[in-house]
Amino acid sequence: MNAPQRTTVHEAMVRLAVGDREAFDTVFAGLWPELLSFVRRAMPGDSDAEDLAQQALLKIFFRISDFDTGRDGVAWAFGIALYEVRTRRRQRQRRREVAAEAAMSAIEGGASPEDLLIEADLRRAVAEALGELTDADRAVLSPDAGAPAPLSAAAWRKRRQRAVHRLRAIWRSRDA
Amino acid sequence: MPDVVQLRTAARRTYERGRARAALRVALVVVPLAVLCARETEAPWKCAAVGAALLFVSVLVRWRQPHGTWSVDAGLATGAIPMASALVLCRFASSWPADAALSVCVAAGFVSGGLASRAMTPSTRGLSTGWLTASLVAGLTAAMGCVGIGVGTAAGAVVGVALGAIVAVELPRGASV
Repeated sequence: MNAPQRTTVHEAMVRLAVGDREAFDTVFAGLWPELLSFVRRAMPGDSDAEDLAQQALLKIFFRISDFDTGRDGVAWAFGIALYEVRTRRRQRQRRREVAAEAAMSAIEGGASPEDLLIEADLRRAVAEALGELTDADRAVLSPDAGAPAPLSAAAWRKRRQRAVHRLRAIWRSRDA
Repeated sequence: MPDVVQLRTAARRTYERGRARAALRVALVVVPLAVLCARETEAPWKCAAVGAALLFVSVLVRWRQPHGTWSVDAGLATGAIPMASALVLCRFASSWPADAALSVCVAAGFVSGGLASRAMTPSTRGLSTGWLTASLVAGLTAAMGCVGIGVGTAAGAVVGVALGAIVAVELPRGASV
């Protein structure tokens, strides 16, 4: 969207916010393609991108009467879209974590061939994520590792905690 | 690719729902005003009836009319003048003669109508009908206080608001009420 288009859409948004319904078409035609393109870029290859863009657009129209007309309308609209994208990513992430936990508990209680396949896949993913850690972090996370003599138990716990954080960050970046 | 026509229809419907929701917020002001009227006067049913009419008009104007929020805000703010005058009369001067109460309500209504109308003149908001709806809301707000004294007094306040609004609209732009 170039500067004149942006100004046109902003002015139409201001008019729509105060109830001038004749500005509706300008806002719709100006925002929809840009929102769709933005969400597609933010979620590449995601089949839900169109749905999410629609959802964001409807939220914008629902809340436009509350829009502070002193602000930039286009930036406000894209702020809503960005929030929707982030919310969807968080939901996805959470769902993956829950699914992984469920798969692991299923494996522990007697596994089907499908479970075994998932387990193998998860183990491979975990091994790859562990491979990206430093040697020190991997040593700390080893199940057999204990606190070495000069370190207190609290310092050892802290070190493990930091290593887990780093592993989690790597895991999430792989998913994203 | 989503159906753009369907999406446009859904967006339009959603926009109207959002406007209606924003318009309904005026109840947060009108309902307490009606409760105040009912508490301060001995006419709770009359207050409820005028309050319901005021709520209906306010929501409708805020929802449907461009710049309706400003019209209603101006009407409520200026209508509070005769309403407060009438409520003070009810509390402290209940034994006043009816003519005196009517005069106070008409005079306060006149001032209120003038102010509401001037607040919405085309020079300030670029509107042609905003003064009319602002005056209507101001009149109903005024009536809500004056109805406690009597229906005739409330009608007097509404007439005062109407006169004030018309005079203010006819005044030259540089003049003040």
